[in-house]
Amino acid sequence: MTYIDDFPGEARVVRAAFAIAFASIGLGGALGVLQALFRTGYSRSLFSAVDYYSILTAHGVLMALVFTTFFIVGLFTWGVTRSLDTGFRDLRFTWGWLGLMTLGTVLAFVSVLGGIVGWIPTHAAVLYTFYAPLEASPTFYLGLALLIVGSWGAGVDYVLALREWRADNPDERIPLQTFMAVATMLLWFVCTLGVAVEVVVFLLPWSLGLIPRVDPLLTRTLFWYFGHAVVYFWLLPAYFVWYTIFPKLSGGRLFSDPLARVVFVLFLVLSTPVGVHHQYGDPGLSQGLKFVQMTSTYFILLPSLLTAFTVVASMEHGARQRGGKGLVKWLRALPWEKPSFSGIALAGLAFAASGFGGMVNAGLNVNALVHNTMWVPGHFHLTVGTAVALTFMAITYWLLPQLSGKRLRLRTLAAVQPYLWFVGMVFMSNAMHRVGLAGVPRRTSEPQYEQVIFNTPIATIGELHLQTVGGAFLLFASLLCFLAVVVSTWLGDRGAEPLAVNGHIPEALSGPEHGPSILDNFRVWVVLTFLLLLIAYGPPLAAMVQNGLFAPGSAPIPA
Amino acid sequence: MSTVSDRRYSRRRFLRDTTAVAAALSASTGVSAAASSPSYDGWFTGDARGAETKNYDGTTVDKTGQDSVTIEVGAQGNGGSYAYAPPAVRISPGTEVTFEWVSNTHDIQIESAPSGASWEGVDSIENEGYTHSHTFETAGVYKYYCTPHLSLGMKGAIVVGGSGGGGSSGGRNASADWGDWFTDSARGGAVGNYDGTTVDKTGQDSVTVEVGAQGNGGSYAYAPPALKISPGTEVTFEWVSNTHDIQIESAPSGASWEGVDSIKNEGYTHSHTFETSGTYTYYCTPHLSMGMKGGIFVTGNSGGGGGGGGGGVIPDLNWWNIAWIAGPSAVAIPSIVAYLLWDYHRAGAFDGVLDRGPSEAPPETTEAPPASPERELDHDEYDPWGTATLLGVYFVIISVAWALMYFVEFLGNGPHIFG
Ligand code: HEM
Ligand SMILES: [Cu+2]
Repeated sequence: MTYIDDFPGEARVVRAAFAIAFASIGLGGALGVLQALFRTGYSRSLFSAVDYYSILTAHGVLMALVFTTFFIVGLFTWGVTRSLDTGFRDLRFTWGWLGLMTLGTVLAFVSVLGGIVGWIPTHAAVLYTFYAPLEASPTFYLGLALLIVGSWGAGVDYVLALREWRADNPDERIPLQTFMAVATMLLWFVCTLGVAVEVVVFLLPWSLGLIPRVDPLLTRTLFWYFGHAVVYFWLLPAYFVWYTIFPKLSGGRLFSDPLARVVFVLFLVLSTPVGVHHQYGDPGLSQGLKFVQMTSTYFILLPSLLTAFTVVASMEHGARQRGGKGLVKWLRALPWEKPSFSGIALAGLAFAASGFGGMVNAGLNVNALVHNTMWVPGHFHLTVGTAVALTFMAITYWLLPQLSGKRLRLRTLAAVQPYLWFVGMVFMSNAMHRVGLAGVPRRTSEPQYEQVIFNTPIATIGELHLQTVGGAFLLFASLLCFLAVVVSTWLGDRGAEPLAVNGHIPEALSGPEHGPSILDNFRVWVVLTFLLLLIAYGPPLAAMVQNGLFAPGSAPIPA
Repeated sequence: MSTVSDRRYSRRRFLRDTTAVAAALSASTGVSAAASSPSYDGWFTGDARGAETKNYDGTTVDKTGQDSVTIEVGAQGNGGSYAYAPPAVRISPGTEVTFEWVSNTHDIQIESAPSGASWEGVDSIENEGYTHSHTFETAGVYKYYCTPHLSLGMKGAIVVGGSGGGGSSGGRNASADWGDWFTDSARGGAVGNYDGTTVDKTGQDSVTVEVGAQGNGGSYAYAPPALKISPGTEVTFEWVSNTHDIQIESAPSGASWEGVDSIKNEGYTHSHTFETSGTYTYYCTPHLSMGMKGGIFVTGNSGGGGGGGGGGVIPDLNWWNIAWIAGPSAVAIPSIVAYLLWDYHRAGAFDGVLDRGPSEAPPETTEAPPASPERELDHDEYDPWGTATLLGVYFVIISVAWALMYFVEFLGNGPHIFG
């Protein structure tokens, strides 16, 4: 018996969501290579410098919004039904939200494609941070709105399943996987509120010509209210894997269940009231506000540090149970040949490295050094592009057999894939960070200027460009390995061979009974979240709408 | 109705083809306008409201006989981006004038209009990318200005009528306005091989311009230097001598042509299909001082012809977009409703049996047996010293890296906020 035998209907939902996620990452990866080739000047003949922005938008949207969201709703659907041991009440509702998300994705993607393909009458070269004054066709905004509304459906499914379970088990602690999934979806509800208002109230009517203009500062602020918390919406599912599955893959048990709950509560409460740290360069926001949100940003380092400790300690526990000895020699006792383990371990390593970049980005003053340079894509290809994406790929090797009843195929390819990704990303991300420090701008198809020479202290720009392109090709090769493993596993016969994995997850060393039960009271945490939001965003938003909802920053000059 | 920014439509290709035919068919009986410039009763001088309009040099640009005309709002002039360009235009009744905002915070207030006119201008302040169109039917003189920049002389006028019959001449007769580009007063000096004629190639699919042809005291000419084409025409530039490029001096907003940035030699060719209407000017970097300059005038946004036939009116793009949105939902919503009805019906009729999936159960999966650890370590026996070591090392690395970043990269490089 495995998951698909217990929950065949839910397993099909998860597989469908994963299929769309994998198609997106495949396509997005191909576009990523094209971008790397174009902006480093290796190939400028494939498309025009203007089309670059449509392609970049497609890459960002497919990777950061489509791949992540579909994988996450699939992963949580598995985690919630598995840990509560109940299916969803009505799978038609479940297919409904998945269908809505899919429709939205197609609409948004076709809108972006219209910028490149002449006969599609749309355009959406607005980048994945789609705020004004850049304007897309209404279909793009509508598509994204449907994607988000659909994902709300997923949250509703999880919360309903939890309530039903709660009615049957009034005195038990919420299973950890469900706790994490619900906390993440609550965070998602809170933060998507901002982008929903941005899209539905402003951008959509504006792009339809119903309102003549919007206030760029207001829409940017609404976007970043969402835009920072969204990174935790990507990250927390990776943490979900790190906390609940990774210890078992290392051969051990989770170090502390209560600590894991504290971390997720901290993220729920703290991740939204810090969005202004993406607007350090924006005029119209006071320096005081930026300073306050910078301080709160440093607070969110705390739950990530707690995570580093708990996850590494759980891994060490596994190593010692496998016979590992010494202060650091135990690392060698870990199952590095298993891609589900190695992928997550490397993802964690990339995340640790990105912690440094994150500290630099968050500093109000140091940020000026790297703001809008290639440093920033260098940073987030380590976080969402590796810590999250590589974790998702790695756990697929473990999950897909249980979701399909098919044994994993092409296991050698699977075993090298995480290493290939990691090495490729070390090259690409390092080169991006360094050209960024030299001042090379991000989101620029041809970053070269007559009067400007970019100075790099160690390697030349040319060498760094070579590293970027080389890294991009390694990443793409890794992606092809991953897709080959997934597709050939998918084509196998169900139940033909015994699986090489099992879905058993051992209990935590320190169980939930060691933590206070208020941790499980989501009402308290949601109320607290809204209180903090009111303090953080109330005054600036009030100031922005005072001169009219649609009036841009200042009055015309000279009057 | 106002629309924002230029968008691509498949219709454009269609219109180009049809209007090329129309242009070929329409007899070019256009009467060139030669009516004398009106004085506008001093509207452009400092005696009227606001300051003198410095970008008005006494000429009224003649656009009679065209279906559509563009006026830039916020173009360069009057000491900044405070001009309507061109400031004074003569058109035929029935011409659609499109005002394109090319910079921020301008409006169009009407100072005076012929009685019975329906134009209301643009009351609100708008920004770059905004457009406003109006078809002028009532003959007479319209005067307008920009509220925020009236005091800088941002004023304009449109004369409707007074020359060639309404739309009888094709867009071919629109005359190109090169400003002073081919004269001494523009950079690079006068263009020797420009004799005042603009070669008319409207309605053609492809046109060739030679780069480095004889002229300007050597092989320093574009031939022909001044060219008029219809939207959708592909222009091929053929290098007939060495070391020339094509730098763009000016292009209409929204145009995608980028010229040829690098120096090329004989035998090289470069092609571009010009879709955006307006005036393009360009020059050769090495030979600018010899007068190697050129211009292309792309006329009429619904094709070069469209005269007597009255070119098709492009449907407003809001409707296009609404249809594009409504289409999928119009299919999706009824299908979902139909499915649900069918599903409920089926579930009722078969008592939920079919909902349970196929009758033949798939083979059950066997999982790997859970592995038991080499040695069981429980909570009290386990102290994560290895973890503490690793994290300690990590903190040291990250602190050193941050210090380097802060004190060397950040404080060591200007400009920054500490002196
Ligand atoms: C095959 C692997 C990948 C390659 C070669 C690649 C390459 C690139 C390059 C060259 C850029 C453009 C930088 C610029 O011009 O500013 C970029 C941007 C970006 N990438 Fe990737 N990438 C890859 C994977 C990923 C993954 C897995 C994610 C996230 C899950 C991701 C998310 C993004 C985002 C959000 C942007 C920014 C888009 C924007 O600025 O609007 N990429 N990538
Ligand atoms: Cu952030």
